Amino acid sequence: MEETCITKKRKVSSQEFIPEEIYEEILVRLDVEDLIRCKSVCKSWKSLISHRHFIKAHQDYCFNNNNNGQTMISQAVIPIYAVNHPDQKYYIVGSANGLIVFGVTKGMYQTSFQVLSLKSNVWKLIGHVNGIYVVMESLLLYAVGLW
Amino acid sequence: MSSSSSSKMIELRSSDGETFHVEETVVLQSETIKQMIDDDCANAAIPLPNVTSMTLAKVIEYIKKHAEKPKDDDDKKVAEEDLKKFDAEFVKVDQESMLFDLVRAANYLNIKSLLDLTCQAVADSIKDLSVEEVRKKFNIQNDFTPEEEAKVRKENAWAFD
Repeated sequence: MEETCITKKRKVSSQEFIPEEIYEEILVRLDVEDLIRCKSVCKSWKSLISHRHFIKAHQDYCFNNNNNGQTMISQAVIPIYAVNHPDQKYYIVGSANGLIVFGVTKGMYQTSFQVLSLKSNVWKLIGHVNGIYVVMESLLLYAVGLW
Repeated sequence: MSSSSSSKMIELRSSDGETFHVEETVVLQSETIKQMIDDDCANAAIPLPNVTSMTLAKVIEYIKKHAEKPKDDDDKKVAEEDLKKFDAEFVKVDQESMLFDLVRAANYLNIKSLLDLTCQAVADSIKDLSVEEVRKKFNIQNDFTPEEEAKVRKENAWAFD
């Protein structure tokens, strides 16, 4: 289905300023937030950006260009350590494909999750997942989906 | 590789019929042209029907600069810095259409470093634009129904703050 959207677009957009096949080259260089916003531009961009192939290309691009020799937690799900704050407790739920998920607890209950992605060697907040009661793996899957 | 000497000149012809003479060693940065030369198709002027003379002149300026070889290691560092400055200036074009022309030419001529440079410049120019501004920039028709668009925006609301 995603492919059909792209093919259809190619046929009708004879006067586009930049050919469809180059969009990927450009979009792969955007950070996650700009990319997510660009999903609303048109159907073909939405399917391009959501496509597994593109997500992988974006990960590879970020990995090769923003991560100067630092160790990247990737692919595997790794439960890690807790970081304590006076009133909030942040802990790393796990990491997959260059994304990292923090759980944030206030008091006794888990209130939110934050998903971060690496850009320019900085972990950047890309979103919250509120009130979800899930196992780590599915949360990470959701995080990757968000991207 | 064909038996080339550094002084061999290759003739390129733009879409509007202008001819350019460029050293073969310089023009080999274009994989497309390299392939033509390897296939022995470059005895006459190479027609580039997708590239205007204005764009081709810019592309040639770029590949000439990138073909310069530093003499020694000290020179190499200076040359790298110089090249970075050149690249930064190169993509500061007056008209956005020129940048798009360069992207297309780099893609057609298959010059990877130029495609990287120009695509990065376009990507930088999209940063922080609204969805409407992005559509306008690329002349993209919004093919979502209002309901579909509202749904996509809602799903990704946090990116619209």
